[in-house]
Amino acid sequence: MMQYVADGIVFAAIISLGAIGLSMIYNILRFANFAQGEIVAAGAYFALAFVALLGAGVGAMGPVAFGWPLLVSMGFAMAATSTMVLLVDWLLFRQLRDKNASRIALIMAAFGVSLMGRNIVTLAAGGDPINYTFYIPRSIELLPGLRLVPDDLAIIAIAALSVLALHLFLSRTTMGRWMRATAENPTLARINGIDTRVVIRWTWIIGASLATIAGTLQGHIVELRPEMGFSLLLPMFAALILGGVGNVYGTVLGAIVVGVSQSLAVAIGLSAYREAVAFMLMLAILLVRPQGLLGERE
Amino acid sequence: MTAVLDVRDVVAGYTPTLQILRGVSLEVRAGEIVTVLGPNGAGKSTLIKAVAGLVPISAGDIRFLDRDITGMRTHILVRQGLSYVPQTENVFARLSVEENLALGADFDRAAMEERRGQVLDLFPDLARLGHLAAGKLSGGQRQMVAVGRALMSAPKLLMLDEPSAGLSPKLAQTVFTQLRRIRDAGVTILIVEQNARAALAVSDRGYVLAEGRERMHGSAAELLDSPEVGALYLGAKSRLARK
Repeated sequence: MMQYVADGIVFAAIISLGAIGLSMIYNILRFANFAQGEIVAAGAYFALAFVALLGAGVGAMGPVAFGWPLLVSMGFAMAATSTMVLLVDWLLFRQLRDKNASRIALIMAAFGVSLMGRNIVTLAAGGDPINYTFYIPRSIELLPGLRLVPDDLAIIAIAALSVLALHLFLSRTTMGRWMRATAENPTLARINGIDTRVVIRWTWIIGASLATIAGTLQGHIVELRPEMGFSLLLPMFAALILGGVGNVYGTVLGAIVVGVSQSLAVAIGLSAYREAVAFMLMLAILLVRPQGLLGERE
Repeated sequence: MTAVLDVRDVVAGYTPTLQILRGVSLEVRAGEIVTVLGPNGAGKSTLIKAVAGLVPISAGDIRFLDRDITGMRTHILVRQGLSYVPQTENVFARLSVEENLALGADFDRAAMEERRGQVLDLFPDLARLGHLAAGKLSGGQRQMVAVGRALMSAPKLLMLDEPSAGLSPKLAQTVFTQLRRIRDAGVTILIVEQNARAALAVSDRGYVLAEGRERMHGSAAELLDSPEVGALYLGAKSRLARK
């Protein structure tokens, strides 16, 4: 059982990073970004491009089958993905915001970006699965009955460090305070001298950077496919809603519940229905706490 | 006296087809407290929001410290010394009192400590509430945070929309007394207020709006004594004139 919980936490680590971006965009731009899955996929493919450009493979760090070359490539990919989403925002979402477009119009636009994005990735990289590197994962026994691949531990550590860095950014920096203020009341934020356009740009950059980390890690332990982000979209939304829409820390908790419940569904022989099990659990929790685990009642 | 704010023939509204202000002019001079009165729907709040850059202006112009600020973005106006305290939702409920105050001076961090000291001198209660989320405070405490935050930006002009709304008469009186202290410290003040008697008592001059137009203006004493103001604003001149 412990093994399944651990496997679920590895999956949770990945979807939480994608879902945090979803949460921040919902909080500050006030719409559900259905293109978040494609941002995850774009991040993974950008990292692949930089791995190829650097020509050093993915490296290794002791027992972990990736090292500085993949991490450096991921850093470049974060910058590339951020630039891409800023361009999409400038070309599309900002125009819609300036025209006071409805929330549903923004969601439909995000759907359009999602479809386009997936097709562009397919055109550019082909539809076949790709791997950063081929390796044979060797698990180590952490506790009796609990074995983990060192890469899984590295993934949990990277996700935890990313969430900690985000927490420090939001709670200790001026821009973090501006983001929290804008999320709560954008008009009052402007009355306080906050340029909400800058806040929006930072929101996209952080959301895209975390999505790139999620995509790269998912690509490393599974594979890269054009629809890899889209297949993570439902668990990401489930984590967002379960944790309490707009609450970054709730989103992480929601991701853990979704990841672990999917994994436990496999443990009890329901592997074909594992997503359904996670969603049923989500519905059950929402019936008791409609605002989500850490959300505030409106 | 120099005009800090000069509003000339402003036409403004939330949509191009619905103009709330239909040619309003108003002047606020340095060191004054000016109150804008009027019945509900007269356009008082819209006027203050138009000055703050929150409502589109379709005609007329607004000058602040002799610069044309018509249509300027709100966050730039704040950085130039124009601060606005809305009537409702005027604090960040999820942020602590300390964070609310800090937000007011985030774009001039060098002066933050000095300004915090000035605000705490004016509202000493805020010192012990610093760590609390602003959403947990009472109405009066929230109003102190809202005004304190606005003062953290060291405004040349402080605009307040119904600062006494929802407060007990005693607390409302305290707010108006503090506004006089703020003015004495060199901040020019423009108030939009329903509580006409209390607001005019601390004001130098006042304007009366009705249906989006200026109905009359004069010194606070003239307005307090005016039968027309009493009839227009409260429907009973004796109530307004009574002290």
